[in-house]
Amino acid sequence: METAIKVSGLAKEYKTYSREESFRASIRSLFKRDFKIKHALKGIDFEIKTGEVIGLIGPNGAGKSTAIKVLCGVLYPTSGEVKSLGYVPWKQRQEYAYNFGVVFGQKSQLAWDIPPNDTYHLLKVLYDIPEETFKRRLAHMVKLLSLEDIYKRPTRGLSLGERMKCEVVAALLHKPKLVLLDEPTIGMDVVAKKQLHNFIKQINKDYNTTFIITTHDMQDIEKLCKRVIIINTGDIVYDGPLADLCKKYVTNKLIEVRFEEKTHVSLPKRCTLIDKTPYTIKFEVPLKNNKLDPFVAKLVGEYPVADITISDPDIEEIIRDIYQHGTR
Amino acid sequence: MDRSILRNELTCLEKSAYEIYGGGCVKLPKTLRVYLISGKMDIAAWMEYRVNFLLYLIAGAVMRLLTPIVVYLIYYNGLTFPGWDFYQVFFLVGTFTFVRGFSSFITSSVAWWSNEMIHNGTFDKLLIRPMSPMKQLIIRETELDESSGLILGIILVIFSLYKMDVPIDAYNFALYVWFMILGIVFISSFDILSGALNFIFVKTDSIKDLFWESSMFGKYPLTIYGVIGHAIFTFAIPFGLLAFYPAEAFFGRMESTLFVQLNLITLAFLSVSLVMWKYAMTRYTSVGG
Repeated sequence: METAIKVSGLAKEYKTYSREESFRASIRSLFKRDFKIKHALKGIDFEIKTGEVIGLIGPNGAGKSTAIKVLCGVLYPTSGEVKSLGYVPWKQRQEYAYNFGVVFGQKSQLAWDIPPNDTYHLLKVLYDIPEETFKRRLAHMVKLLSLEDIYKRPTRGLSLGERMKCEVVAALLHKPKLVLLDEPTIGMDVVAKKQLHNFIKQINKDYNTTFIITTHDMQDIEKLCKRVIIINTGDIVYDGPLADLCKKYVTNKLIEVRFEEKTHVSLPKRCTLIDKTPYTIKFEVPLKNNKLDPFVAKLVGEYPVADITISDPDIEEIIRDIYQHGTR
Repeated sequence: MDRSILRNELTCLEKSAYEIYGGGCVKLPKTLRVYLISGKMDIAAWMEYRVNFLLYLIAGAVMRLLTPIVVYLIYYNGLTFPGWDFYQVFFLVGTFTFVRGFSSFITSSVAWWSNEMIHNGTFDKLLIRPMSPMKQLIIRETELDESSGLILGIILVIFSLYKMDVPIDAYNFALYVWFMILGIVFISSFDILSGALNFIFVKTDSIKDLFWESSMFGKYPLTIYGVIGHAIFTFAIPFGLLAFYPAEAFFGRMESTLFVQLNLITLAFLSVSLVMWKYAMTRYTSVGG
């Protein structure tokens, strides 16, 4: 597979200032400010192949949005190199713009007082899209995202979820080779989310479009991304397949047991009880050398077990653990 | 407003871009096409709030009508500007109103909108599109209220010419137009400079306000400001280009040495503002999220 993006030693620093909350501090800040350098990105490296769907995740303030903004040429980096689709984003901004699309969850591309459809017509001219192609593409996307009754209504009257779907259309009208989605499912209900997931999969399959998705919703990651990059305090703490992340960082197994009759079980100290009724018990056991705890075998052998389920913890929990404790 | 009508208009507008040159042989430049569509969208957005739209147009016209009324009152009360008769001052005021109105059409949105968009981070969306951000700022709105300034300026100039009944010399008229262009370039340079400062200091609308209010010095003959004021508004901050020098050129009273100097000063302002804009864009920090 061809390389779509190559990032080496990418660093971005911001100068920020802070002050106390008092009015006196406000007056003082007029004359003297306490500046700090914030290292939003600390020299990160990664490579993305054409057609990949990557999840870029991390806690708030980790540097995800900064990375996205550098990748689309909005921000100049402090140091490092980026080659995206053969362009240096912040230097060849206009030529590069024809090749990528971006959705910023918090910032709208759409004109507020008039329907998204009008913005689409403006984008048609901006991106030199031929009339027929424009009509065909718009109709296709409107159908896939069920926007028939939505895209002709003024943007200000749309719900956040509806607006996000319209934003996605705006970002994809010019058929970009690379799409950067910054929290695309924000405000969407389960149906809309599913539609968007299917839409992204479809576009990726049909056109081999590369997607980078930042999100706090692990469902987006599980449904769409085979590979994840976890970024925390400006550093990449994990870059690899989602499946490996589970294998590598799963330290516990979740055990759910249903008994044939009322049963009392005493758990060893190493297990963590989650829930218990006279007929059921739910607990976590630690994995030792990637092997299941012998207590589980004992449980099946010595107690009247009707059913047992052994599963991994939620991906969300694994990610939360990495955010809080780092990688091992 | 009926959405389908708006959509049809947009489509028709794009069609007209082809038809102007005879049925689709030549295409209008992309910037102009984007401007026409942005303009339509801007007007459509304004018309969503009908009362505000109407008040906006009326307020713009009333504000601009105040200037000729003030000039009339000055002369009515026996006050004069030495060397300038009543209709010559009307000509001066008309030129000033036109030059400021025209420059507002072009670059005032660079100063105002960059201030707004850099502050709230929406400038991002200009940076992801295949057109220079400055061009997008210039064409992003129609500046409808300035249309009253343009129209009033033209009316005042034609009215004063009619009343003065002086023959129009082609050379002097060409100089008049050229100096007006320099005046427009000078104001635009300041708009760009003011926009550039937004990238560094995030909010600088007071600088733009200060400049805009100070430009009123250019509405009257520079001779009233004394030797020092005259020199300042010629060489340091050439507000004289907004009306005084174009009018002087029109009346054939221009010193030829000033022609080169004023051209060079305007070029210097434009160059500095463009270099500053280019540099300042590298300092853009967006906002979180």
